[in-house]
Amino acid sequence: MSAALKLSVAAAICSLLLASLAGATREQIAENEQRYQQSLLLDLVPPGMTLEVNAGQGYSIIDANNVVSGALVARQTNAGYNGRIKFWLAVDATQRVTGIRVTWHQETPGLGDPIDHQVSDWSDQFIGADLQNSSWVTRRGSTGFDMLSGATITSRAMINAVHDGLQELATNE
Amino acid sequence: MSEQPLSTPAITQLAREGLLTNNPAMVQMLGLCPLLAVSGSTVTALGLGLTTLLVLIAANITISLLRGYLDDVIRLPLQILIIATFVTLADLLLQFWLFDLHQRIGLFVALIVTNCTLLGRAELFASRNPVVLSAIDGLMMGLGFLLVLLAMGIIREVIGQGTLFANMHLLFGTGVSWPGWQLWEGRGFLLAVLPPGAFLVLGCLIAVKNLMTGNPDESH
Repeated sequence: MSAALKLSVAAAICSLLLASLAGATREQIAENEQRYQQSLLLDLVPPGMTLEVNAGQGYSIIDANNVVSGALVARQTNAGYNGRIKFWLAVDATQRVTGIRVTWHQETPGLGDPIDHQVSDWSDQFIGADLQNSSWVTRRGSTGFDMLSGATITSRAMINAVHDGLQELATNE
Repeated sequence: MSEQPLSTPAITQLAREGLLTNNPAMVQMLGLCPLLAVSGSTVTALGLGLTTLLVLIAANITISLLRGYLDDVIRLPLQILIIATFVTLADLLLQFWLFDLHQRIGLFVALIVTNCTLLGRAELFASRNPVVLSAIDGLMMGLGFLLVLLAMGIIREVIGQGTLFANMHLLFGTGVSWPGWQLWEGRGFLLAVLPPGAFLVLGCLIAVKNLMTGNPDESH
C-alpha cells in the first residue's frame, strides 16, 4: 500500500470516527449549553415567577397572577479592559435592577473578574438601582457605585453598560 | 530497546524518567502554554492534566499499534492526525459530560494538539516500542505532566486566592457540594494568579527538582 493511500485511509477513519461521535453528542451538548445559560438566567427570576419570551428584546418575568412584573435582557459592552463583556440584566416593573449575571468576559483574573457572580457578589450592588435615583458615571468619572480596585476600566464599563441597558429598556417601554 | 521484554526494571525506568529525570514539564520544558495558562486553580489544572494524560496514553497505544505501517514520509502527519483525533474526541466528551469545566478550560483542550509532549513521545517512543511499554510510557509522562500541573495549581491557588480545591464540582459534578478549604479571608497575593506568577512558580519547582536530582545540563 502506498504512503499516500495509507494516509488517506487513516484520515478517512479518523473523520468517520469524529463525525459519528459529534453526531451522537450534538444534542446533549446543545442541551448542556442551554442548561448552563438557563442556570444563570433562572438565578435572576424571583421564586414563584416564570419566564416568557417576549417580542424581540429578551424575556418577560411573569408573576403567579400572569402579570408581567419585570424583564430580562441580554446586554453586552465592548468597553471592558479585555474587550467584550456579556451579561443578563433583570429589572422589575418599575425599571429597577433586580439582578445581573455576567455570562462571558475576558477580564483579568483577580482584578476584573469579580464582576462574575461566581467570583464575587460585586454585581449585587446594582440591585435596586434605577435611572432616576442612582448616581451613574459622571463626566468626571465619579460614581455612586463601588469600583473594583485595580479594575477601573472594567468597573466603569459595567456601570455604563447597566446604565445603557436601563435606558434602552426605558425608551422601549 | 525495541525488543526489550516487559520487566519490572523497564517499568521503573520509565516511571523514573516520566516523573522526574525526563519530566515533560520540568526537564523537557514541553507543553508550557497549557501548563502556565490553566494552573491558576487546582480544579482547572487537574481537569486539563487528566485530559492530557488520557490523550497521551491513547495516542501512544494507537501509534505503537500502527508502528509497522508508518513509512518515513507519512509518519509525522499520521502521528499528528492521530493526536488531533484523540484531542477532538476528548473535547467532545468533555462538553458531553463536564460542560461547566469545559467552559473554563475549553480553549486549552484544543491546544493539547500542540502540546509537544504528545508528538515527542509518539515520535521518540511509541513509534519504536511495543504497545504495553508505550502505554506505560504515556502513563508515566502524562502523570509527570499532571503532577507538575497540579503542584502549580495548588501553590498558585493557595497563594493567590487563599483557597484550596475550590469549585471541585466543575470536575466531579454538581453532586459534590464541598466548597473547598478557605485558608484565609480576603484577597490573596495576586501575583500568583496572574501570568508572571506562573513563570515564578514553575521556576521555583524546577529549582527544587534540580536540587533533588542535580542539574541535568551539568550531568553530561
